[in-house]
Amino acid sequence: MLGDPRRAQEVFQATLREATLLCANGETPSDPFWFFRDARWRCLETSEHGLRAEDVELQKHDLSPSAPAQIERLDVNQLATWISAAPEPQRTALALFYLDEFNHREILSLAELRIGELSRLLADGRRQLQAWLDATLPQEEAK
Amino acid sequence: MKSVRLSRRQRLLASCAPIREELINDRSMRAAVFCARASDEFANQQSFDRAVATLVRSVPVPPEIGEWFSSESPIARPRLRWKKTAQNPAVLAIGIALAVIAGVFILHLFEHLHDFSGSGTAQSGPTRARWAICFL
Repeated sequence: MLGDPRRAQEVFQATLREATLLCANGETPSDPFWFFRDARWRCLETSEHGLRAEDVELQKHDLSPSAPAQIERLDVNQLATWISAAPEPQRTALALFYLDEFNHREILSLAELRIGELSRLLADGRRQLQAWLDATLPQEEAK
Repeated sequence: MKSVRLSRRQRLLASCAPIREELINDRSMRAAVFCARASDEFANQQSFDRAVATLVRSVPVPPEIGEWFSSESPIARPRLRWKKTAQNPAVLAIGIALAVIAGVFILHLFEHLHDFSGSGTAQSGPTRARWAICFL
């Protein structure tokens, strides 16, 4: 979400501190996704203060069968930077989806989206990521 | 290139199809994935998503954060208080049901408290005597 391990750790600690305080006061959150919701809002708030990528129309390419080979060559930090530079709510949608821990209904609830919006954000995200992969790691090189 | 005809709703769902099969716990999503599975486009999407998820899973957890979760329960569960437990509707219902069963049992016990050991035979005695008179 933030693309910066230091700020991510600060958000994580703040969320955990809040959870501990609530529990200590006997106000344990009933929402099973409270931690993710709280962390998401803190991430959004934190990223408001830092430098933000300009909203530009990114290129989109159709998904290529050789994309998995390109992704294998990718560094995890590059992917984190790419996702964290995506505009909201696409960033939340991509981050939650690729965590591979939630079903689509849970993602809809956490990201406060409708199915049509989530579908469009994910489909655009994939095609934009493919275009970026093609630019960063051309398919000939990936082979 | 294989393509299949999907309804608009199925296309939307297939686009959000979870990467792991275990996360498909919704009937409409299962149907959409089942229909979309025959198309090359969906196969490309799934292999793309799987590759990204594998990369995401390889993100190292910083040791400082790993330490926080070294124990299985970082936050102790709140202790159950008997008053709160007793106010639970399920516990209340079970309590009332047990009280009714106990009441009926005690009532039954008191009804038969003064019965003597041969009372069953004694109660059927007059009928037998009537039969004997008829026979004679």
